[in-house]
Amino acid sequence: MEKLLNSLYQISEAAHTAKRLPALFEAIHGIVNELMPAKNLYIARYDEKTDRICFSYSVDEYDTNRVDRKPARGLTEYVLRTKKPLLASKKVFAELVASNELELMGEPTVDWLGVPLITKGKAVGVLAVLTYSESVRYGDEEKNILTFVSEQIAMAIERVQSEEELRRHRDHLEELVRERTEALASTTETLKVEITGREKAEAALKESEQKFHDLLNILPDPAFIIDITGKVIAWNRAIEQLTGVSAGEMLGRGDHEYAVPFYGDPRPILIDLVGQDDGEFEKRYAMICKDPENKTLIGENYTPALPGGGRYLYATAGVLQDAQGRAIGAIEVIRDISDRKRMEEELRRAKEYLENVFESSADPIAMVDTQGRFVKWNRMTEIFFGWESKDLYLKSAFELYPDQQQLRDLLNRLRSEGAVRRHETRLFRSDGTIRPVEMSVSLLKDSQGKTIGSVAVVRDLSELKKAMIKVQESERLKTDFLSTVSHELRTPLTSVVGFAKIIRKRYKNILLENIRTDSPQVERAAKQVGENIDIIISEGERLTALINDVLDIAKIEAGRMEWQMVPLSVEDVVRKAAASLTPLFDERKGLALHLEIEEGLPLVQGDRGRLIQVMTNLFSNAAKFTPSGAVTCRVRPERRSVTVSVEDTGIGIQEADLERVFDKFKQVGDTLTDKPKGTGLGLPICREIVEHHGGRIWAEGKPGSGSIFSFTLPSHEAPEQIIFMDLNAATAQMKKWSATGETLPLQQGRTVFILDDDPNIRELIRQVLEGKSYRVAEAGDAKTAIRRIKKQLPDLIILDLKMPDINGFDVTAVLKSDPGTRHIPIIILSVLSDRKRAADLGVESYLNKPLDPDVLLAEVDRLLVQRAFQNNILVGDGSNGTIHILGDVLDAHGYRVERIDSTPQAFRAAVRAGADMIVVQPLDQNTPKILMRLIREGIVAESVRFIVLTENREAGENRV
Amino acid sequence: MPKVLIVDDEPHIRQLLEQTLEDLEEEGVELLLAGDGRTAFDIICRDRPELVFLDVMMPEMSGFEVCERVKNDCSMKGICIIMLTAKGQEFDKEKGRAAGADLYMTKPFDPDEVLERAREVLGLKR
Repeated sequence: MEKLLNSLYQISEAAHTAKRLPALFEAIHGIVNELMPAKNLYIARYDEKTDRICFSYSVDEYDTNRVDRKPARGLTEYVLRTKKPLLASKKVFAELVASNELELMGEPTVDWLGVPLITKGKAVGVLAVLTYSESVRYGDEEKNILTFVSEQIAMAIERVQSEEELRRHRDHLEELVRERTEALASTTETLKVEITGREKAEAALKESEQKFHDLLNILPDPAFIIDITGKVIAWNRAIEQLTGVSAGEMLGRGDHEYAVPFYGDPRPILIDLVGQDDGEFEKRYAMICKDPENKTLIGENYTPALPGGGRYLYATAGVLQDAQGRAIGAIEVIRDISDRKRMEEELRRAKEYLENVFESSADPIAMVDTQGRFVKWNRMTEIFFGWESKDLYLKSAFELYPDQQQLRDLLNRLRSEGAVRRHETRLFRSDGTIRPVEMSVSLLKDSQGKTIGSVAVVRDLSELKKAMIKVQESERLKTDFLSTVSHELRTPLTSVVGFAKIIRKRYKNILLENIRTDSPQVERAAKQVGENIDIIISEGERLTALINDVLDIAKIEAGRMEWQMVPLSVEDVVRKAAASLTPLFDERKGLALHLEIEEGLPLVQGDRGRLIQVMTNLFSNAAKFTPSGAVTCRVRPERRSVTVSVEDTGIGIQEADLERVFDKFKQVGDTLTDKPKGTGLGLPICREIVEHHGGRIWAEGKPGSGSIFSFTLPSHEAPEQIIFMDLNAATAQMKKWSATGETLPLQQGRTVFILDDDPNIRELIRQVLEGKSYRVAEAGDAKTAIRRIKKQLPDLIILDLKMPDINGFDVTAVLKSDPGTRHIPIIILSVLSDRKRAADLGVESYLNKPLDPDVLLAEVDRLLVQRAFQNNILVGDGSNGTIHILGDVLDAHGYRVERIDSTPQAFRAAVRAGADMIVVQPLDQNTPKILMRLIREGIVAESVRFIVLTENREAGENRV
Repeated sequence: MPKVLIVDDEPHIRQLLEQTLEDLEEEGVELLLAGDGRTAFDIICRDRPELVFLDVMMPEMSGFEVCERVKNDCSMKGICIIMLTAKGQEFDKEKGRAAGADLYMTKPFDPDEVLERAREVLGLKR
């Protein structure tokens, strides 16, 4: 990559130093030759005006005579036409000839590699390298390289070409001037004859100067002419515009005053060197060189004094001669190259900047070629991988991967997405150790969109991983510390609280009664001792609560809490918590607890103990801050959640504190006047618990008007198998199903059992059915088949009639007489035709061999779908009329309806008997739980649907 | 005479439990004491108490180990073991259950509750 970038720079340099195209072409040949073997190289250019291909440069071992031509059908024209690089091996060439794309022009080559030279979207030429020897071959790599440099080459050619044009322009002008001067000379001769006297000669001179001036004005580039004495005799319009000095001001001035607009002071400039050829210019002036052919001088310089700021100018200057070849003055033509200079400067700076960024990056950055070999990298790459520069050059980056599969995945992603960000992987270092890294990799493309390699920024994750381990370690230490501390605290607390309680008991039961109360002092002390013991106990208990809370918080935060998540009823939780707190709420104490629990609460998935802890916390908080009044707990179902709120009529909370109450150790209020009444951890724990359940907890209220603490818990999603709907909806839905024949979800995955003694037939049927996602079981003889069918209870049986051991009719008879298997539909497949006997035995379908797979499939589908609507088993509690109505409706729509009890045993029996849908009238709130348990325990197959009838409000109202 | 064994390496806790349970002595219950797991196990084997209050963290032999040994011995598995622990970890509860403990109480415990449990196990009415 470095080589390649360097060559770009060289080409750009060549464009500046080569003054003529042949020199540029030679330089380009040299540069290409460094990138690849390029003994044979030519540059063809297409001239639009003349419609000719011109072989401007050609070095070739064999084809020494490339002549310019009208576009024909050669490889050059093909590349010009397609504007795409072409690598033509003999084979590719032959193919292109065969497809009539081109024909052989010139010597046959082993490989011909050509790239279009494109400027402004136009293919203006072709650069081609050729090989005639099998020992030098061109491949994709050479193609990529040549493509990569082609744009720069095209730009260079254009630049030199335009300079040449400029020179031609000037030469042409000189030619004109020469002609005119000759004419002028002859005129002067004539005048000499006709007129004598100096005035006339001067007039003629003026006239000739005027002519120079007119002539110069047709030139688009700024130009001026001085005569032999150094006076300006022409100053064209373009130079007026460039300098802001008019011809009128400048004409006739000498003593280098024409330099003033450019440099701010009079001084000798390029034009003054014309004709003073001592062969030393180039030594004295770095920015001036001489064109040896036509003796013009070329210079490039910065001119600071021009209006609108300094500019870079490129100028050519030459001598003006008269017809006799005598020097009569000099001309200088100028071109403003500031924009180009600026661009070059910016390019150079950008390159420098990027180099700096690249080198000073704290992360390794490396570029690899299309084969994954290192071509450029920064210092960090060497440090990180531990390789030296010489080891890394062209080393395969692929070898750094311990996990080649991961590498393949990365390359695939890179190919399809162009870039892969934050790819985590592990890489080898030079010492064989493996480092965890994160890489961002992007493909590098050339201007034609061709991939030429990729660049990767690597971030060392080992420090990060170490830090993470440290964090985990410190988390673990913290938890261990807390658990140890709590142990060390609990042990003495056990003694303190325990003995205090024993003391209180003995004091109250034994001592107090025996204290003589004749001394008021003793009486007071006795009373105080009793009170003090109470304080020790209550403070001890508070300390215990604090330790418990701290431990809870620590455990939750460290992710060490063991949650026992089960589907549970929020109502149970609320009632249990309320029951445990009855001593807190006592109407006589002036504090009541009201529970307002709405019906139809969905179950939630939760840890019962922890949720009770939340409720206990909220209730005791409410009680704590409500001197008298009521605490109301409301539980209501939402769309996909349950909301519980605890409202009190207590002191309330400042609005600013509504959020803060859930912060650790933050009891709101004035810490000086309001003595804290708890650990300050209760609400934070509540929040952790609720959030762990996927819920949200918040506080509302105003000071003085009580507060409301609420939380939501997401409802436990009932499995899809349980559908809640009211009677009307259920009836409508079932009518729709029976009318459209639409299958229930999860009808797939049904098992079809095949019994046939011919393994080929079994295989054929298996393939047909598995293609439609049926499961297939099979047997080759009747005894095995019967045994397996009874065990597996397939959804459908396909059997052959004629088999060696037992006749197919006998198998049918066995299956159809067994209550466990009689409901399974049977398709008989036979060369025989005995439909009547089959129908008598209860066979559902009879197909003749040879088998038509489509007919069989249609029959299987029909039987299974039909069956899905024939075995709905209705469950009723007997006392409710509505479910019987539904039964009648279903009967009328062709469903097979059976009525069973609403008990787990009955459900199980119904499922065993092949029910596809069980309509349940819930006996109580436990019914959905029972169903869920049946599903969870795998007793009910996935395909079975439960429809749980919900209360039909309309019907209820009608009854009243 | 029914026997109750108190096992804890902390003398104060032993004393506390002893005083808590001393009411039972009037009802004919004998209280035994041990300060480490090994001694506890020896006393259990020798005296076959009806009930053992067993601390978890002790030198030489932990409460879990004592419990496990007792419960694995057919002749002793009827002995009721109440584990007492200062670490309120679910993990410990699980370990206690695995070791075969009958009940699990967290320190600091309420003396009244301890007395209550003992009465229940020994079948004594108030």
